[in-house]
Amino acid sequence: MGKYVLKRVVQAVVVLLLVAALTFILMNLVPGGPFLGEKAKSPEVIAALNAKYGLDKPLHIQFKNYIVKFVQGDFGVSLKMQKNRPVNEIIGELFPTSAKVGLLSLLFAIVVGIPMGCLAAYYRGGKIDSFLRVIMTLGISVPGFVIATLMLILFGVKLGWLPTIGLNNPASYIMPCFTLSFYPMCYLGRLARSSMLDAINQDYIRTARAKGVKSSKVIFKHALRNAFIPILTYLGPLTAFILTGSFVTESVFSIPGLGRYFIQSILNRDYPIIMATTIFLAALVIFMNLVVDLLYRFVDPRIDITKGGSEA
Amino acid sequence: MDKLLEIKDLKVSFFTHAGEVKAVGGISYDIGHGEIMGIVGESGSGKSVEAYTIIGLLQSPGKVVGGEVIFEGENILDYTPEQMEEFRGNKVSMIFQNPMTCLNPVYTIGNQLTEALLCHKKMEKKVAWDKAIEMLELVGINNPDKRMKQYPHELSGGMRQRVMIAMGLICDPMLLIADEPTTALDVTIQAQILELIRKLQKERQMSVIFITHNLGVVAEVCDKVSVMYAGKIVEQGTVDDIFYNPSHPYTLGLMRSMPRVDAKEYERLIPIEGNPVDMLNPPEGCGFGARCEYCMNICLRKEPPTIDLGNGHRSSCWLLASKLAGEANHE
Repeated sequence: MGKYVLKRVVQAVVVLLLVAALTFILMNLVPGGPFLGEKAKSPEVIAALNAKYGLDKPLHIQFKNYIVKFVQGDFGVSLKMQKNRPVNEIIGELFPTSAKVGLLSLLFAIVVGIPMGCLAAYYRGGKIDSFLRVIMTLGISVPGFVIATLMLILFGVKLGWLPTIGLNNPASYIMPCFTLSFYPMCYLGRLARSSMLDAINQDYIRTARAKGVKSSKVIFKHALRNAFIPILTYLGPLTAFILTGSFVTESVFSIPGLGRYFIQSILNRDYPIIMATTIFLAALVIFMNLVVDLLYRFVDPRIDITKGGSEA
Repeated sequence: MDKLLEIKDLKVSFFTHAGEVKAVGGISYDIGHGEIMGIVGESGSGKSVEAYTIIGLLQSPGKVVGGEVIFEGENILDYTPEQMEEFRGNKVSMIFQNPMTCLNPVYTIGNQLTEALLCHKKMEKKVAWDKAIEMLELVGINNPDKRMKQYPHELSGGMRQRVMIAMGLICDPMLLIADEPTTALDVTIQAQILELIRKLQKERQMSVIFITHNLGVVAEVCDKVSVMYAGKIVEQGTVDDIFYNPSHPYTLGLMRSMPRVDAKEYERLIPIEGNPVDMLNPPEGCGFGARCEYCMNICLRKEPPTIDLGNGHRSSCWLLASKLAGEANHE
């Protein structure tokens, strides 16, 4: 087990290096730069700025310098958006906000989505199933900004029940969290439904029913655990993405989170922030995938990831 | 009479998109305490459907359309779903054909064995655990303490079927339904499992419904036999009646298509010609008519009556009806 984790960590470092390199190249290929603004600066000023932040050197030297500093824990400073503020500090401030909204959304998506799928599978072909399927299809096909806007109009403006901006009180979490969780909730529901349908038709479900086990227990104990592998697979990356926030949700509800900041940093060519947020997100995804792989074994004792199997 | 289970004119249909399939078309039989009843028939003859109905596992689109299933004087078809849950696995339990897929792969043997006890007998976990170990010993599993903590994939097929039997018997049911319990096992293990079921049945004075398509198994284990064809019981009687005095052409056909150990040198098996009945469009008259070598005109027009040959030996065939009528005429 320890050996396996070590192997995965080494792999992760390689992947992160590749991600960093690719982001670095793409970022520099995009026209423009951090020092271009509405007011045109003289070429001398720009050259001086480039020299100050080391942007005048050849790309591979820049990359090497970045990685050397990165390993030492220095992610550089913001070049434009919050000038000269260390990137660590910015992420440290923005990530918790996104993570708080994200965690609530994730919980909501899991707690509602999975039972919804189970229910639909149990009543397959019936009215409840049809109703839930309509909702789930809506959820994965209607974009977040439409849901956010509709909710803003209804609950924020027309009814005036919920605050429309910021995260100042508990009630203000409701709309952003719902917007953020609606898609994953419905996606989880569909995943749960299809894998539950598969599990419900297995022989061991018949055995459980023949024992006289209550039907709710048959579904949630015997079938769900068998149906959980695909759900778990989706939950890993979902957790990483939902915790780092979403551009749409954070923009619409004016939440100072990482998701919105990430997109803005790209628009502003704020190189160190682009690099740091991308690597951060990639690391989180890799970490969550490792967690998921380790969890498989607890869900299904037949799976032993540390043994055999070629790396894909 | 000490009848444990009485089935009266049970009819089960599946309502599919293509139409109604009468999987079980009016069957009646009864089982006394401590009796082993064999139900034989080919695939699709309705033998499993009929068993699922008794234990309440019939699933949509299957539906009981008529008849009664009387267990200890109560018609279980009138039970509410809650009553049925209480009944299943407690008074009646079932073991299935394929032990490789019938155990839940993600729970330990111990967890699955104790489940019925926890749910029906309201036992404490520790007590249930000990009882489960006792059951594993009873069905001949070595090292039961270790096995309890193992998962199904760590056990062999024969062992898993033993676990299934232990699971079926753990609540001391009065009736065990065994749906082809040995079909998926190799022959030596088959014999062991049959012997085990027989032994436990004797010890506990339990009744057993033994569903199989293997006549050899029936001869070895059962007291009574029902032969099913196309959703109906075509002949029923004691094992001796059926094997020494088969009266229905289908039963005869089954006998002749079975290899015998005591065959004289080289003997050809005689298969039953033709195909099973299309249950969506069953023919008029006798279901077996089209495949029957003794088929008469009336067989293809009217359903044969059930003729009582005495001592509970009954057979549904026009041949017997005309023979009886002929005998009556002669007298």
